[in-house]
Amino acid sequence: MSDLVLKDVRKSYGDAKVIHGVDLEIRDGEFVVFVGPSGCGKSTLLRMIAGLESITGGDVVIGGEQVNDIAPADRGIAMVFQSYALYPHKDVYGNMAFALRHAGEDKAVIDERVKKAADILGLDALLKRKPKELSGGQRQRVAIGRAIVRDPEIFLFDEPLSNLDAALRVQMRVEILRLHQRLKTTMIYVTHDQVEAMTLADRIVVLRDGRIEQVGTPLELYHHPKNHFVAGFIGSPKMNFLACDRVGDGTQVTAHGSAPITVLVKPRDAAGPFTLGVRPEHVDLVEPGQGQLDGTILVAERLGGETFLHVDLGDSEPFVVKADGNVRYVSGDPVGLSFPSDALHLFDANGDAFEHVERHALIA
Amino acid sequence: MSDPTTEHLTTAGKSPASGRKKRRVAGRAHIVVFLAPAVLIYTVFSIYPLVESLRLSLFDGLPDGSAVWNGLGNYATLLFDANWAGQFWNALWNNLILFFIHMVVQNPIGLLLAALLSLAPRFGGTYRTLIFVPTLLSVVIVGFIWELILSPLWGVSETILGGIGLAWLYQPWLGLESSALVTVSLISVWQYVGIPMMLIYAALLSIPDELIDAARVDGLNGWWIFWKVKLPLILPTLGIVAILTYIGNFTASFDLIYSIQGALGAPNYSTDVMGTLLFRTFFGQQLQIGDTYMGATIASMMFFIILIGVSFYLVLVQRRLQRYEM
Amino acid sequence: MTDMTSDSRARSSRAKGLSTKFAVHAVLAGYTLIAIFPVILVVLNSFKNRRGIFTDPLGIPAGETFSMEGYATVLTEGDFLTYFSNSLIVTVSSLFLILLLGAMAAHALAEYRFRLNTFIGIYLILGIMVPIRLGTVAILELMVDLNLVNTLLALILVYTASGLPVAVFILTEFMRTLSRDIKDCARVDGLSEYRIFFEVVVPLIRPVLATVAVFSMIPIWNDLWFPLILASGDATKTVTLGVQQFIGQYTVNWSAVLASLSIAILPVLGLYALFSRQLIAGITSGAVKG
Repeated sequence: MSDLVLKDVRKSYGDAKVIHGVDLEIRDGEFVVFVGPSGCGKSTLLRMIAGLESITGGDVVIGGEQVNDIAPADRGIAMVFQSYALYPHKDVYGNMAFALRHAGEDKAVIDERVKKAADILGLDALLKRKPKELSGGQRQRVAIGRAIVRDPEIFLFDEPLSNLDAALRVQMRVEILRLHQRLKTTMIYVTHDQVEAMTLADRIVVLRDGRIEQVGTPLELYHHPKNHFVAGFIGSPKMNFLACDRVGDGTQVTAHGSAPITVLVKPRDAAGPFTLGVRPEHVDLVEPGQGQLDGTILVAERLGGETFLHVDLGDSEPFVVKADGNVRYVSGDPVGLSFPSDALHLFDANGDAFEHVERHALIA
Repeated sequence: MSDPTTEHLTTAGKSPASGRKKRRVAGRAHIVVFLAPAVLIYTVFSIYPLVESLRLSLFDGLPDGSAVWNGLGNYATLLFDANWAGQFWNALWNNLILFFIHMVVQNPIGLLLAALLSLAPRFGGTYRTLIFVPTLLSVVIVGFIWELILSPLWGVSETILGGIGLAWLYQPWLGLESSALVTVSLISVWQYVGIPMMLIYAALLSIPDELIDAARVDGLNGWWIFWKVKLPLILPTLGIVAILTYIGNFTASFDLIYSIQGALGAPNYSTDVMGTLLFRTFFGQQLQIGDTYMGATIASMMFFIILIGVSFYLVLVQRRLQRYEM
Repeated sequence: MTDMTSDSRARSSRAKGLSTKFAVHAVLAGYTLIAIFPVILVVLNSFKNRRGIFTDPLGIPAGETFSMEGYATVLTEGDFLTYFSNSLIVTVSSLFLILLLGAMAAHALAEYRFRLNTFIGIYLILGIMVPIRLGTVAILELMVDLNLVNTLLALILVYTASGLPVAVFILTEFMRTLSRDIKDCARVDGLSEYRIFFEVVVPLIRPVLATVAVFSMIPIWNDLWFPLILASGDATKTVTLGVQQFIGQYTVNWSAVLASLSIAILPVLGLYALFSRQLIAGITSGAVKG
C-alpha cells in the first residue's frame, strides 16, 4: 500500500543543481539506507520525501498518490532527526504526544499510544523528565518513540546515530533493526557510515553528487560494485586500487610488471587505463617471489584479533592487507602477495566495473 | 500476536494519510507577515526621515513658509558663510577633540580594566558590576551630578583635592573656556568606560585557555602573553570599540552638553558640538529663528561625516584586522 | 644547595604573585570607587537638609542633618508619578514591539530562503550605523502630519524603529544557531509556520530576548532628545525630561535637586541589581560582537 516511488526527482537552488534526476522504488516494509559522502544529496533527498524541501522537478509518490505539494504532516511519514529535535520545554510524554495532541486526537488514544511506544523503547520511567535531564541515548529513544506514536507508513531517519558515542551507536543500531523487524514498516535511513548501511539495510542506495551510483543489497554492493566509487566506498579498510594493463584475451592483467593475474570477469571492449581492485581481506600473504607481487612492509597496525599490514609496492599509497592477528611481520620485512582470481575487480577508464563471470554464492 | 506494536497498528490503524483533506505545503505568505511590521515601522520612522532630511537639505524656506530648490546652496552656506562657517567648524572641531579624548583616555582605561578583570581576581564580578553603573544612568543625571560635584558653591571637589594636598589645583573647570570641553569629555569618559571594558573583557574571555597554556609552555610570562598573544587576537574588538566611540561621539555628546552647558555650548561656544548646533539651528535659540532646512543640512552633514568614518573603518581598518577563528 | 635556590625562587615568585595581586586590586578598587563615588555622594546628600549638604557633604546623614525635605519638595512640586508612568509606558511598549517585531523579522531572515533575504537583512541593520536622531527634522514633521506630537505613541514608534536594528541583528545571529531539525520536526508534526514561531522558536530564544530587552531598555529610559522634541508637554513628560526641567527650575534648592536626581537613579539601579547578571552575561557571551 505504502510503496514509495521517486520519478526523476530533481532539486536545485538557483543555478546550483543538488539532485540530478533520481529514480527509485521502495517497496512496502523495506529498510532502505541512503549512503554517500557528505554533500552527496542524501539528506536533501530524504527531506524532499518528507516534504521539508520543495521539489524542483519530478514526482514523489507515496502509496500511489503524488505528494509533491502535500504538507509534511499529511504524507503519512514520521522523521527522526540527527540532533533529536526534542522540544526542550516539554517533558518526554509531552514530546511524544505533541503531534497527536496537535491533530486533535482523543486523549485516551494518545495516552494509549504514548504508553505503548514508551514500553517498546523502555522509556516508561522517564516520561516526566525534560530532555535536558536525559542522556544522548535516551534522547534518541524519545525521538524514535515520538515517531512511533504517530503510527506512520514510512519512517525517515536522518543520520540519527551520529551524535552518539561509538558503543551507544552499536547498541542503538541493533535496537533500530529490532524495531523494524517488529513494526515491519517502511524505513528510509540516511547515513554517511557505511557500516551502519551494511548492517541495517535491506537495500542500500549509494549516492554521489546528487546521482544514484548503485542500488542493491549490502552483499551485492560488496561483491559486485558497479563502479570504482562504490567499490571504494563500501568496505573497511577500503579496497586497494592498482593501475594495470590488460593482457591476453582481456581476462588477465599485469600490474607493476607482474606476471599475468587472472581476473574472472566477462571481457568486453573498453578503453584503458585500467584499474585492478583488491579488497584487503582478499589477499594471501606468501614468501617473497611466490606470489604475483612483492613488496616491503611499511607499518603493521595490530588490532589484536587482526593486523592491517601497509605494504609498499612503489605507489604513493601503501597497499593494505588485512591479515591474522598473529602474523609476525615487522616494518621492513619483504613480503609476497597472492590474489585469488574470483575476488578481484577490474575497472575501465570511466571507473565502470567489468561484470564478474559468476555471481557470489550468497546473492540470489 | 502478543506484540504490542503490531496490535496497536491494527487497532488504531487509522492511516494518517487517508481521511480528511490533506493540507498543502506552506506557501510563502508567512515570510511577508513575519517581515512586514518591522520593515514598515523601521522604514517610516527611521529610514524615511533620514532620506527626507537629506532631501530637505537641498531646499530653502521662503518667508511665506513654502520651500524652494536650493541645490547644494545650504551646504555652501554652512561651510563658507561668515555666520555659519565659524559655528560649524568650531562644533566639528570640538567633536573631534571629544573623539580624540575618548580614544586616548576612555579606551585605554577600558582596556586596562578589562585586562585586569580577565585575570579573574577575587570580587572581579563585583568590580565589573559597579564600574558599569554610570553607563546605565541617563546622561542628564550624570551631567547634573558632575555639575554639582564640580560646583565651587558646594566645594566637594576642593575638599577632596585638599584631602590629598592639591587644593590649589581646583578651578571651576566647567565654567572656563579653556577647560570646559576637556572636563565635559572626561565626564563622558567616566560614564561610558564600562562599554569598552565589557566588550574587550568579553573578547579576552573568548581566547581559549589552551592558547595561553601553549604560550606559557613556550616560555612567555604574563606581560608578554598579553602583548604577543592576547592583544593581536582582540584587535578586531578594539576596532569595533573605536568605531562605536566615533558614532556615539556625535549623538551622545548632545545630551551631556545640553544638560550641563545648555544649547549654546557655554561658555562662549567652547563646548558647542554638532548635536547642539543642530538643535539650536532647528529650534532656534534666543535671537535666532528655527530653520528646518539648515537643520536638515546640519543633520545631513553629520550623516556624511559618520558615513566617512564608517567607510574608513570598513574599507581600511576592518579589512586589515584579521578575525581569527578561535 | 639546589634545594635552597629552588626554595628561594619559589618564595620570590610567590612574593611577586602577592604584589601583583595587590596591584590588580588596588587599580580595580580605585577605579570602582571613582565610578560609584559620585552616585553615592548624590544619593547620600539627598537625605540631608541644606546645612548638612553644605557643611559636611561627605558625611553620613544622621541626627540633625538628616532630612527628607528635598523629597517633600519633589513630590509636591513636580509631577513625578506621571513622569514615571509615562516612562514606564513608553519603555515597556517599545520593548514589547522591538522584541516581537524584531524576533519575527529575525526568524524570517534566519529560517527562510528567499530572493531578498540578504538585502532586507542588510537594510534592517543599517540603522545600527546611522543614529536615528539625524532624521529628527523629518520625524517632527511626520509626527505633526500624523497628529502625534505630544503623545507617548510618537515616542514608542520612534524608539521601536531605533531599537529594531540591534534586536534584529542579535536575534538573527542567534536564530541561525538554532537547530533546523526542531523546526522541521514541528512541520512534520503539522504545525503552521506561525505556530512554529510562537510555540517552538520563541521558547528557545527566551534568554536572548531578555538580553536584548535589557540592552534596548537603557537608551529608551534615559533618552532626553526625543522627549524634548516630540513630547515635552506636561502630560507626556518622561522621567529624564522631568528631572531635567525640574532641576532647571529649582537650581537653588539643593536638597530638591539632589532628591530628584536620586529619584531618577534609584529605579535604574534597582533594575540593574535584578538584571545585571543577565546583562553582563549577554555582553560577555559575545551577543554584541560586531
